[in-house]
Amino acid sequence: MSDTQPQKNGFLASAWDLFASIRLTVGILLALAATAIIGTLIPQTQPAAFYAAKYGESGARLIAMLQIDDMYRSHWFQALILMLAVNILVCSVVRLKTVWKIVFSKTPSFSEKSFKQPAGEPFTVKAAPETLQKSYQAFLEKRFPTVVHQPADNGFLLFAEKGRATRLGVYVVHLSVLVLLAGALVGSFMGFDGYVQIPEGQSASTIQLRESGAAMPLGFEIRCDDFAVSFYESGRPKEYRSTLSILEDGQVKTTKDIVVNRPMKYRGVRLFQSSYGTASAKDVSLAFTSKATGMTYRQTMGIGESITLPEGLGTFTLMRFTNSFLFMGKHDVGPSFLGMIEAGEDAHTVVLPLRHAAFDKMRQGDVVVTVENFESVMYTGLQVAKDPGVPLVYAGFILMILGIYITFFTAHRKFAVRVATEKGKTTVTVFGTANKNRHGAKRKAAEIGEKLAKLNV
Amino acid sequence: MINSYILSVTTFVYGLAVVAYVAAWAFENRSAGKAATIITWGAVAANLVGILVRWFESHQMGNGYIPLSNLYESLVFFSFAIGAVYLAIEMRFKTRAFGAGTVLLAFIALAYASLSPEIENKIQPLIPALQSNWLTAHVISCFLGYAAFAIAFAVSVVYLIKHGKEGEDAKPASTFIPPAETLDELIHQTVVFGFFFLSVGIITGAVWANTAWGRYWGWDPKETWSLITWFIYAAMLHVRLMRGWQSKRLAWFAIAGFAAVLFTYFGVNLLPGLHSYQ
Repeated sequence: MSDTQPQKNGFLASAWDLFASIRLTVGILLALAATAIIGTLIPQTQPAAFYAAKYGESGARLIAMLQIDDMYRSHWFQALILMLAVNILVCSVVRLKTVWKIVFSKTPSFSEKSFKQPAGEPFTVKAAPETLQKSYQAFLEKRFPTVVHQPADNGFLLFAEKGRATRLGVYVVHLSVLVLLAGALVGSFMGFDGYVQIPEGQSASTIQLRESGAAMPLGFEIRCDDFAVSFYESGRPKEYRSTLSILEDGQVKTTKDIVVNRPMKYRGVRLFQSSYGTASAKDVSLAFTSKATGMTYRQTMGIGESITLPEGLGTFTLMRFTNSFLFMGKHDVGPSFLGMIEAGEDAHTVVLPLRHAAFDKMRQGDVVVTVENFESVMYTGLQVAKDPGVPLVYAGFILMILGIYITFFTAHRKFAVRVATEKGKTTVTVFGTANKNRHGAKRKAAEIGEKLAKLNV
Repeated sequence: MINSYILSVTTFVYGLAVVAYVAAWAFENRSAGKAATIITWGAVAANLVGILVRWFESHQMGNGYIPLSNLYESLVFFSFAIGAVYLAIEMRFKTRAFGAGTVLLAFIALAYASLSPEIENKIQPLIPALQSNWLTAHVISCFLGYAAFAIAFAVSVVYLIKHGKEGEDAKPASTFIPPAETLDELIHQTVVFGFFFLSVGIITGAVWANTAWGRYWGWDPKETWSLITWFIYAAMLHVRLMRGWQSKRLAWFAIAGFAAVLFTYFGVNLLPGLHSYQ
């Protein structure tokens, strides 16, 4: 037992020392930077076929093995992050004790030795040291939370200090990183991210998860009451707006308009305006021109409706609208209506691409069909997400900004006023120092000196 | 448009300032130095006026917005930030040694914006994704950060040229360039300033992304590269706490960091993603 224990302590002690070192921090930060670059050069979360096509079979296999196709969620990247978290924790624990004692000490100690050169010019006064002490102490006590008097050769020293608590700033920054990581962890376990397309007038209660592609029921219904898109004169989009109603058990719970940058929230789930498109059409105005007589007959109909054409030309059914149609299985003719003409025993598919008005002439049928007008039924593309970790992450953000500000832009400053009498002359010298920006502290000390000199004593 | 005319003229004023700073350094001439500072103030003022006029002109056109939304506008703000932050540093550290290098960067940014045929400088109203107050906060903080890092880069280059060789300085001591400790202090202060604003920039970007796209972090190339930049500067700030750290190593860090800044700003547009400028 006694043989193995020192070894164990040795290992733990070395591990502790490793994680308490800043050298490790620098190493991990640089490793995170270097490896993160890989994920920007190799496209992430693509299907397996993509990597095979781009990097060859063996390349794709290597990528999958090293989890480079989803590297920010890979085990090794997460391990690096975990190491950083442990490093932060250990470093803070090791160093915080001493700083805590300094910050919260009831009896701070001061020494003339902390100060090097005086700030500004020492000056002489006529008053006696005792009177000086009273007014100088009062002056300093008005400006500093801590003022301490110390007798010295031929006089005394007055110490003043401010900003001791700023030494904790760096621990706030590091705590903020841990809070951020905790928030991210909560979000990844308890959150979800998906999308859904809802045509106007319809509703959906299931979304498709972004990562797995699996369907997920929401527990409530989203109904798209209206969708509107507006454009600038240049043709660029100005606004996409959806009017959404949330229903539970058939009852409308709330209705709200959303636009990009202004999502809505329901039971912790947020709905974002993400995209839009044409789902379908209604009130489609069609023209049927008979080859035999040259007469054109017009009809407005909806999807799924059929009409009997005059002159015995048959029955036309407007089957559906599609955003893209592969003619002959090869050529994408773009957004098109599809129909069916039945005349007796014959049945023919009618393709009506919006881009080519006279397309149906090619069919060389007895009647040529053209689309003259229609009303779009839009769908709204919504991103649906829930992330319970967000409050933690936001707290981390605030802590980080505060922490960085305190760490770098505030300091623990100490000042000393030395009053010494020699051969009947009383000289006052002011000193200033700080744990950061010593020059600034010295300038402040010189200012104090000037103000003390002007005091009516 | 008047604003792009003003900004084209500003480019030449920056160029003139660079010439004056070079003269001040090469001939160790104080008057040239003073002139350089005054010309730079003029350039920065004109730069700001250009931005404000563009803002005003966008309102005249009916769809007003703060001009920070595309490559042209960001380059214009970048050069303004470099000029403004440089002048603050010149005053605080009382040296003109970095005027030439730093103002040159402002000149290049604005020249690229004004002269490149690929950069659209027409005022175009904001598409839905950019219609947010977070745009202003995010872009301003990021570019203040970038500007500070640009200056740290310029000082680091000078540091390595002057003190790069161990032991003796390569050139005889010059009074124009401050001593090594001051250069080191300068690099540190500018990196600290930049790091604060880069952090605010990344954070405002994340909060904005959360309201626009439903997630505060998506590892897209721009987000990832901004984090890579952050990691490099964070590492640099920690190196100072290591035993036996060297100013020379920190100068190299600042150069690597700025390379990351440039990739974050321009390089990512060569990769696919949501953040590419149109």
